[in-house]
Amino acid sequence: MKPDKLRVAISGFDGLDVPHPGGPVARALRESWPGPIEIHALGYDPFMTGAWMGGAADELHTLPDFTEGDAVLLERLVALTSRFGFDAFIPTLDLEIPVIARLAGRLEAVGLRTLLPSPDAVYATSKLRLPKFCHDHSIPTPRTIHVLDQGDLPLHADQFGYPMFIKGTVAGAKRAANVAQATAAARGLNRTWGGGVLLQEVIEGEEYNVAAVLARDHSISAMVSIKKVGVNEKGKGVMCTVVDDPAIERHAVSVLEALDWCGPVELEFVLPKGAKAPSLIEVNCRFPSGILLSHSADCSLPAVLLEEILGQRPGTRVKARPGTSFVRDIAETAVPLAQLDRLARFGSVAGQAPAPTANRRADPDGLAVAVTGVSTLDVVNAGLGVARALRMAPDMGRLYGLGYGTYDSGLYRSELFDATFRLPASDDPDALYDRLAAIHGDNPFDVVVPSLDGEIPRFIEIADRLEALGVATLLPSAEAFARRGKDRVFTDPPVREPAGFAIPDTIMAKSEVEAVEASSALGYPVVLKGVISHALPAQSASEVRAAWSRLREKGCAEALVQRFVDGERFAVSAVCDRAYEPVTMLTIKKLRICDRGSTWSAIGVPQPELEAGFADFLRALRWVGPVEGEFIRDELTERFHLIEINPRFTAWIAFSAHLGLNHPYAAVRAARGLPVVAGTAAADLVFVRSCEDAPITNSAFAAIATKGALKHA
Amino acid sequence: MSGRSYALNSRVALEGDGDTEDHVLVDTHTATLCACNDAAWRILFALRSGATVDDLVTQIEAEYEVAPDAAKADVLDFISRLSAMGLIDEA
Repeated sequence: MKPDKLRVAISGFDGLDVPHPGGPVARALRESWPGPIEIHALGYDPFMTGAWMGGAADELHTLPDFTEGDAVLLERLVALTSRFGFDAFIPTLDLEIPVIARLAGRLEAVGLRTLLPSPDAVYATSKLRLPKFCHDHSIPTPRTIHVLDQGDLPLHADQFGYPMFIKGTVAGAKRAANVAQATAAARGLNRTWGGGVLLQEVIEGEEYNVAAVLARDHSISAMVSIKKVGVNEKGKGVMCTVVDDPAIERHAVSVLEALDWCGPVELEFVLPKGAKAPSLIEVNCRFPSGILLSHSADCSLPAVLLEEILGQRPGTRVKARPGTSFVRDIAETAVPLAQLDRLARFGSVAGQAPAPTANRRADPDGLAVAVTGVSTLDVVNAGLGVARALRMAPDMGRLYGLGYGTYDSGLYRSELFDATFRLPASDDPDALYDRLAAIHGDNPFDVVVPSLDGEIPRFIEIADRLEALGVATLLPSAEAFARRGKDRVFTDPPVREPAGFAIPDTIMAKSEVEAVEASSALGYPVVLKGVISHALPAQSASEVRAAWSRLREKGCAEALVQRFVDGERFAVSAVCDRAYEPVTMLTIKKLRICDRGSTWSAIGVPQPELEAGFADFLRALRWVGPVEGEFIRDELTERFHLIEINPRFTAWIAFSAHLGLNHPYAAVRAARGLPVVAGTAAADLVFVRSCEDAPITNSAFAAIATKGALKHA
Repeated sequence: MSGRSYALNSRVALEGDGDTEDHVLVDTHTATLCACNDAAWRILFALRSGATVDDLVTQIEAEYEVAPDAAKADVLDFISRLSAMGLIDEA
């Protein structure tokens, strides 16, 4: 007898800062499917971050790499279906979909149903074939050429003209403004995806995604047009809104009708300024990662797809509610190591229980705290982790979030903050003080925790005035702050030969020529670092020139050229009191990092020698406040090398609260002169972060944009 | 122009929270948001079902104790802006 609960297998829960669609598909189904549903997350390694979030999946299973061959993957899927009774499978990864499509008939024979385009249909609209598809169907698309041989790239790039996009054959794209950048980007993308690269004309304009489900008869079951209202450095939509622009819909329908398609699809368009017809940029054989928005707009495309898979679709076409928006955010959790280990060793494990319903509560007698750095736009700011840790503390009062931009996702997080406010995007300390004083006048707070590198000098400058206002800080002196900067800490460290770690050879370069000379002096590979942020590895003089060009684009006037150290990455978080004494320390080993170097998974690993050496270093720096040291353990010598000292909390700092140390709580208490009880870190937990789309109301967005304030009910 | 009747067209969505007075006009074709003050909100609400300029001027005069000429100038300016954005039709 068939069980009444529907069991759906979904893949693609990973992706770090460029999330795969599986998590949002699962969440949309969980929230929109009318009957009981069980979600099974399938992944190709145990670190499928989105699947570990509470309530995301009922069960997690690993699959063999599909490059091992169809038979191996088929055997595993059949075994899982037999054991768990899957009714349907929604694969969401570009590379696996043609494989699963090939296996669809044999999977259906064991009861595992899918709805996917044929491998031929996917190939016909792949990145390599899309120009021909568009030409054959008179669909506007950017000029694109395929360069197979990397040796030919400079020639083709110069002939093509700049700027251009360099695209991988499967995924990934980088904008290049000159031949050095184009060559470096092509080398990286070809290394990752193979098959050469694509050079594509840059068309400036508004970007749209159209997501749709096509039935087995190739008719359109449902379609949602989404405009990217806010885009990050990687070109990913960080705030998106459902629209009903007839021109976009008309073009989307004409493309969909030209496709030989069934199943989910994403069309990416750009509408050049002043043009009536959008250009088709990409066709993807799965939903976009922002597909949860379709559910928020009352047109859950994952649910429509599941209905189509099961043959249950009602005849009426669903229309999405325009104006519905989301902002891209993150979710974090701590997973028992034993469960990760079980998944790695046995291939299946139960999912994490749903998190308790958000229940923001404030102790009326507790400390009220304001926290800056609440954006996830390009990098995940530390303020979100600080706030989450403080919410886990026993006696906290009201919490206020302070942001600089309307796309700062934390400003809209009502489960974290009682109210949020926008600060002036100005270098003027007086403007910062005036705004904080005004906020404090209406919403008094006891402590402010700045969490962004660039703003800390301004907070240091106004710390005394804030103190007079009744707002405590825990900050270093301006001299200590400057001394830990990358431009000084490597060339003029407070301890020449610290215990527990080494300081890598570093040369300051003020021109491209100096950067190349420094690299030759140090020997390759090297890493070029901006003084404030950005780090780019380089393995040759041409890559050094490309890295220099990129850093100049980011506003870096000079760069540190440093010997590249390869090995596992570690970080030590600490909070120093006003006597420069670390009152709490925690070391983690990074398990997953994105290409920006941010930590998306980590485990606590005590390193007493490293921590003692770093504590001495901080005392010598005369450091006060939160701080993070980043280290790489040389895979050859096993020696730790200092990579960076961050003058604030790290973005993963909520993990300290999971481990029982709660560094933000310690900092807040130390700021108010209250005793801090040093704890011992719990073992056997793994930090995991995932992207998550948070629905927002337009009125909340407008309140932040126009009034700079948003009170959360 | 005073006697002409205008109405918001189908690409306009109005979102508002009565408690916080955060009112927003959404152009559903372009995802453009316009934060609205109280007077703008009253005019937009009246335009949902269609209204003449004279109707709107009368309403603004009554609510805000403003001189008739000033009220009319403001209403016409507002109508003109909505028209330029393609959000209003002559009924």
